[in-house]
Amino acid sequence: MDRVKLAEELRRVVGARAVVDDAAALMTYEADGCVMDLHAPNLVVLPSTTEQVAEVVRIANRAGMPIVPRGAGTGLAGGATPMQGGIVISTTRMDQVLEVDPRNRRARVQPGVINWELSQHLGSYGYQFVPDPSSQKACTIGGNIANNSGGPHCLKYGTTTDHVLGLRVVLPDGSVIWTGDGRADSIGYDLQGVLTGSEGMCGVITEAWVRLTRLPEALRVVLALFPDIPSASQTVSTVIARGLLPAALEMMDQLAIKAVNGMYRLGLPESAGAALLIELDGVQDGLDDLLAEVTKTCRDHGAMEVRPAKTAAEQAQVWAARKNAFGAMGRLAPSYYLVDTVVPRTRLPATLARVGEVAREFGLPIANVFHAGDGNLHPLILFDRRDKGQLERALRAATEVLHESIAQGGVISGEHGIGVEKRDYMTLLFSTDDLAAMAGLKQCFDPRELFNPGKVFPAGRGCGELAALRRSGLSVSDLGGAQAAMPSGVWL
Amino acid sequence: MSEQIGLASALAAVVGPEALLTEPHDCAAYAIQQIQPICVVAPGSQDELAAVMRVAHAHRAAVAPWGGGTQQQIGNPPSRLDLVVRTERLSQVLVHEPDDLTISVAAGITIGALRAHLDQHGQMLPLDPPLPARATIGGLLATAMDGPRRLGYGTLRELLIGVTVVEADGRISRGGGMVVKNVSGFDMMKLYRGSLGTLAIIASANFKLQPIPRAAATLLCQFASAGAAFAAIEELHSTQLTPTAAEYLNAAALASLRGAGLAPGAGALALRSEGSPPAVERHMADLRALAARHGATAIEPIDGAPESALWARVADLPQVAALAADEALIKLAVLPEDTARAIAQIEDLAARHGSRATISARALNGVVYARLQPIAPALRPALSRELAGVQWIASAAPDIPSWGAPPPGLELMRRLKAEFDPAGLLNPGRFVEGI
Repeated sequence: MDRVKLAEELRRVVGARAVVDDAAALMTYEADGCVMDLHAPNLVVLPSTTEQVAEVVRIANRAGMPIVPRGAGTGLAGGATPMQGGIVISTTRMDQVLEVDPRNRRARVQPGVINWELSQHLGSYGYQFVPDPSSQKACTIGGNIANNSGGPHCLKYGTTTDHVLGLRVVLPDGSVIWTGDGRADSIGYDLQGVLTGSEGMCGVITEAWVRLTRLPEALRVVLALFPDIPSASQTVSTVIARGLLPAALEMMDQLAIKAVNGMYRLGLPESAGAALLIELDGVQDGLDDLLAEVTKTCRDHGAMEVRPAKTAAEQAQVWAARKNAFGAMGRLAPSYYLVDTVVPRTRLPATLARVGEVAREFGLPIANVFHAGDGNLHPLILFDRRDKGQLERALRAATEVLHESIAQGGVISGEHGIGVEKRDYMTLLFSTDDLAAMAGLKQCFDPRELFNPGKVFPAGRGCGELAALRRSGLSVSDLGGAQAAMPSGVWL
Repeated sequence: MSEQIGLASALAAVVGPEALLTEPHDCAAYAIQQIQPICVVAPGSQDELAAVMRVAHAHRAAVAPWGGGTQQQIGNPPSRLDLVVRTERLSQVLVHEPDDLTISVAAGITIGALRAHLDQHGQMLPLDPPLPARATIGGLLATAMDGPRRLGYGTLRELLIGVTVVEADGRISRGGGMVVKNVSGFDMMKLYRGSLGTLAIIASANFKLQPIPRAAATLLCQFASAGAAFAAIEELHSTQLTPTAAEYLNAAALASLRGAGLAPGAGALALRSEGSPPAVERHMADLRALAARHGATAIEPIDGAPESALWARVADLPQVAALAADEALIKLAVLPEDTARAIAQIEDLAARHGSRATISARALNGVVYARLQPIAPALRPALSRELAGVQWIASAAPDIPSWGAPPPGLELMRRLKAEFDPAGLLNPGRFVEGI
């Protein structure tokens, strides 16, 4: 089918103004927040209903066109980049909170609802939707679900997958199912558990029941300043090991402090090597004792200063500094490469020490702003994109951080996803048999591989090839050196 | 017969004769819903498990995994059964990093043994299923079993961070890792949990742990009617209190726990708080006041050893390991606001058929377990016809359906089964709709 005819057919489904086919306008959809690899889609549609999405998927199927679901495009791993062109389904117009049901602690939302707006909306009922990624003022619930997004408060309350109660999904064959309705358990295989975090490769989410969490009765926020990163990361390790159960435990290093200081007038001493932002929540009773214990732990590990944020306004200011730290990096360098990895929490001191060495080895400053309590690192490698040498060094430094995280017993993504950015690193973490099981799962949903192709599975051995290998009955252990021969860690 | 001998000798070559049962009178103890296997094998390592599965696959033998054998009444009887694979010898703590609050265990470890290990470190895997001395991690994952404390800590769904499985053809594959937050690849843990051994055999699992709370206390509150108990639950729902368990017990359930019971129609709530001593104290005070406002007829505070003992008995209420021939255990999942109605329906149905209903419910989660005895023939078809939200029914009666209404996405589930077990050898027929 030619592109003009396809556009016409799609317009009949979603309306004339909900199809984008202008070359200049399509450029907006060439990538998400990961701008390393740009590919324009053939067309973009902006449906308003599940039925429209289903019809678009059926049309794409007939045309043999790839489908790429897209929320706000804030992802950092290229999850929304149309690697093989095709039709981008943007959820922008599906932005309604359809139902809030406090009695059953659930809300029914469309995928294009902005995370922050949902939380604001629920706040008036005394509830929250817990996942709170740093991009929450722009990112959508659909994107959060597709990536199983995290955020500071996932330390205590779990990531997005723990807050999804049911999904309405248009499957790759154009059929539509609800996986649940808010009940605690369901029968059969856990389809919504599998769909959450599947990076748009198994269907398009068109509605969701999400879990409401009661706002806590009381909060305590404290900012602790340390002379260096080792003392701060030892503190994190100790707080976790002692079971003090903070709601959030975030770290910023000296560069990050410098970047946010001016912007938020926190007046933090820039001699501090690291800051910890610690939040405790629960009922009033006992919370101050816990705070005292946390404060003492900080001091025991050499904290220079421990500042409680006493009022709600002070708390909000401290949190704003943390959540907008990435934006503040613009004060330090024209570009940054944010690496998302996770290590066991006891390995934070060693891993961060190595990150510091990497900065020196590659001659690029690296700032650290991250979810320390989860062991979820976010080294920000600062560079100037216009300088090709710097760009290359930044990429090599990022690879080094990934290798180090794996060497420490960690993984290659905590909350941003694999997308296209890290697909070739998957072989560092998983065997071919591991990947083949994932490929088998993917193919049950999408045997034709039209949904978000080119993601998660390594470029050298795609989903189809892995699944076929699996069905052949051969195991990698039988294939001898096959795994070693696979491309790994080669990117760009 | 020669094929059977071929299977047995091939298995003996893998695990040694002492880890293999082939005599019918030995295998009888491993019958699943009266279907008896021809061999029972207990591999001693993950590699042996993989080798056993390769042998089974080569012989096209139908396999049922077996942990503690406490939940084999869940699901349909197997449509075929040649080989029971026991995980009893796969019971090690593989990796425990106390300061990371993570652990990796082999699937055959019992929750009781795991508790004993973690106790020494002041940590816990906060799952309180029935029969902890026998129930294994692998079996609890396969059946997605919960416990009363899911209110405060979630289920294994939230706690599972990594898994290793042996697939139908013997290949070993992994998902997740040993970190508490991870989106590296698809969430295979979700696929295997609750799949009743129909997609792969779980060989080991990784979990995040919790510190043992510094204090814990419980209020056992009795009410003259279920309505009064659920009015209290409704109010509790709207507060900012964070109890870790809120279990509703009907009169029969309380009687089975404490000997002397309540008047029929009455109900009780066991409300538990865990955390720092001041937070627990606050909860006890508020919960007591709340129960009193809703006309509680007795409020009994319980702590220390009697508290743990009470909860152990509450946790055991939905056990299905020792079902009488005329008994059924039903699991329902409903919206929280429908919990009271669902319980009333069960009690009404039981009363009409001269059956006694022993009911415990995770009252704020909408999860209800009802034990009915005796099950009159007329009651059997009514169970799934009249009750909403049936998840599964465990019973020895062949004419009671094992599963509730077919779930949406059934076609997709069949494709998953065909992909992961194309020869149909893993627990065939036992899952939803005969998957």
